[in-house]
Amino acid sequence: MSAFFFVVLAVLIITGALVTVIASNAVHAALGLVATLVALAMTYVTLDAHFLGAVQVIVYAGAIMVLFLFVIMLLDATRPVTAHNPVGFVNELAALGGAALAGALGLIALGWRDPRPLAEGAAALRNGTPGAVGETLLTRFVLPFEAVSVLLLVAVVGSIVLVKRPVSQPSAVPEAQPIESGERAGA
Amino acid sequence: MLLIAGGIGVLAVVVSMILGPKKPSRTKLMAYESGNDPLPGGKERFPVHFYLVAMLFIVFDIETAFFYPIAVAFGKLGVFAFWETVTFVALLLVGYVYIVRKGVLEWD
Amino acid sequence: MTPELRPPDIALAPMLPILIVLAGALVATVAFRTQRRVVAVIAIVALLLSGFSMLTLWGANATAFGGSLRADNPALGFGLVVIVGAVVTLLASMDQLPRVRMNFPEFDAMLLYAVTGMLLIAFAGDLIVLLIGLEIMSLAGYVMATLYGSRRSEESGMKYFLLGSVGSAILIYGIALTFGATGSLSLAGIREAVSAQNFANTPLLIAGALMMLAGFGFKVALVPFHQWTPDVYHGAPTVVTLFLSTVVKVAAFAGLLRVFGGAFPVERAWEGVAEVLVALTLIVGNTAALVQRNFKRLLAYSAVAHTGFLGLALLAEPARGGAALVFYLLAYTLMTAGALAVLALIQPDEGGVENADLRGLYYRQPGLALALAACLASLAGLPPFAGFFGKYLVFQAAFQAGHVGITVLAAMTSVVALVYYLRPAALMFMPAEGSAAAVRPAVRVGTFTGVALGVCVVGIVLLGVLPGLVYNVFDAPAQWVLASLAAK
Repeated sequence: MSAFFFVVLAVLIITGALVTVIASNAVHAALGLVATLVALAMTYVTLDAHFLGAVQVIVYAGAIMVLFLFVIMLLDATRPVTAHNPVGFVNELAALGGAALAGALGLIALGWRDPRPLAEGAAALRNGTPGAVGETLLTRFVLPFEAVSVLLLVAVVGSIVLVKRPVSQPSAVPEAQPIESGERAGA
Repeated sequence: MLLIAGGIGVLAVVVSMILGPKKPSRTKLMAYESGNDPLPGGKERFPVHFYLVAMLFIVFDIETAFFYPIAVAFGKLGVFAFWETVTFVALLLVGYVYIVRKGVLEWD
Repeated sequence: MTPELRPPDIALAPMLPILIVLAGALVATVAFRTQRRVVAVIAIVALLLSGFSMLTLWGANATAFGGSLRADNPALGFGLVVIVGAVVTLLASMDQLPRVRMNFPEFDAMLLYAVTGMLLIAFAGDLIVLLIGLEIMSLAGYVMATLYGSRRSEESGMKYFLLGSVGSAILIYGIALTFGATGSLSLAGIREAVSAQNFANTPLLIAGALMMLAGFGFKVALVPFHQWTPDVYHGAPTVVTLFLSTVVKVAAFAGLLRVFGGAFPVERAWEGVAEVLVALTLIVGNTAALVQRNFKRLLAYSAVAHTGFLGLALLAEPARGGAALVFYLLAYTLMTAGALAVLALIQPDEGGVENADLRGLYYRQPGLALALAACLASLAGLPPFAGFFGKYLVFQAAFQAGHVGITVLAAMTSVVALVYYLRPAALMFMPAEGSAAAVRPAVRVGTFTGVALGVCVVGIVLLGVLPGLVYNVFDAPAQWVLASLAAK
């Protein structure tokens, strides 16, 4: 049964990914991405990682996709792009590279042996309850956990700095040499 | 069970699609905008402010996602986890102070 | 409520250098209405304190968080080079930022956040910590590249962001594959798994290692992944270019050495690929720099070319290459920072100067011209300066590890480098009559910039005359072996 679910979800994930890449309409591409992300969340659930599945839906399928659609709306990016593509050969190259990578990973997967017994990992997950995640997060991974708060802080401060450009303070030092302002943008 | 449940859902949609009468008219095909005639286009420029708020929402959303497992495991973790979490919040609080003092949340 | 789980070993001492810088960053964030000069001085003090705390940790091999954070000598070495570069950047920024209307404390905040991330990379004993440090550094870097309000700076930030995120994505993919192959995220654990007798997942490990190499390649500008470099370094404000081209590269190389020298000691299948990339970097970087007419762009391509020379140290045995790498990074940081600091002073706008405009600089600004000439000579690898010994050490390390062909190639390309570095250097000493450059007004060198230039020039001369001062400290092969990490 789990194999059946896996095949169904895998088909969904790949179809969504293909739609994302191929669709010329940005909204369709975004919806394809939603399909991929939701199917991925369901895959996590079938692997007993329930909390991870829930977070995947909340953060990716929820918040981040909203941001995607938001940008598409704001930039009015729903119209297909018709302008000349200066690097047209990239599509073919990327397809070749992707196929080579997929083939290589497929071959590698055939010879793969789990470095740690999977049963052990499944037992540690305890059905994917948030408690198991929380315990690992605050023991083994407490340093990354704190580092992530710095990362989020940089994201907050950085995005504000970019959007609300700080005003340059007047300087007490006499200007050594005037700057030609011809290159500066209006804003 | 799941198949039956899913099958009924699919069946309902497919059957009504095949059997239902279709009389499209201009009014029916109009985008639904609470009964008003839809406003043309969506091409005016939006303030970048919207984007910033969405961005900040995501950051704090991720923060919440971190708290959930900690709350569940808290009984096993003890005081140490409390202080770690306080550190985490305190760092983001600095970001919040910056947001507020910079006036990002003031809508003008 | 009795806690059933024991917290990991939290030792404050090995974290202290990072915490001090982070505290400085927080102060700079909150104090955005304070005078920028005050904040910059606070930032410099924080960096110096952090550097001092690293010196006190020297030789202690301190670890924390079950080996996720390790302040061993290599980490401290890279950390100290980062601190030197960041302090020079701040000193140069003191007089420069008011000129380009970027005189706000957010600059210092972003810089200190970036340094926090870099120290995390250098101190990482764990791929997750390394990744998060890299992301912190990169995010702050993207913002810094965009800070100047010009179209070109915005383009620069955008390109940096897009290609940088592609690099991060590939790196994460590589980390995931490596984890899948070894079942461990800590560098010591990976090393142990790879060295085990019955290790079965070699193909997957190689795939992961190559992806990590590509991901880091984006950050250090190895050649097929270098396309963003000239545009970003040219478009960003010069002080930011100084920061990005020196300190960011130091941190990325620290990560590279940690992963490839530390975690994959036995499995060296990545080496062949890395050799090809380094060879391409040497050829493309040096030949492209040869045809540049803008001095700032020339320095951007020179940064690519030096990635090739630094890559040689990576190919060598970690025990020998590590010391050479730290020495070269320190020399590279000082000489590039010096050249860019002079450029920041003499350029009319943030687009840099044309090479031809350097003509006669010596007769207008003898001090600046001599400082720039010293930096260029060092970049070219001429004997009395640090660049010479850096090149000598990495060539020797690569040669002894059996990479003869590529060492010869590197020696040949450094002859090419001689041409493009010495051309502008010679132009400065030619009389300027009749050229437009003669009318450009002389600039006053501020105190802080003077100190920054002094540090750079004295540093490269000192390192060139007495290389043993720094090199001997790191030249103990045992300390470069990651083994001493009781893996938990």
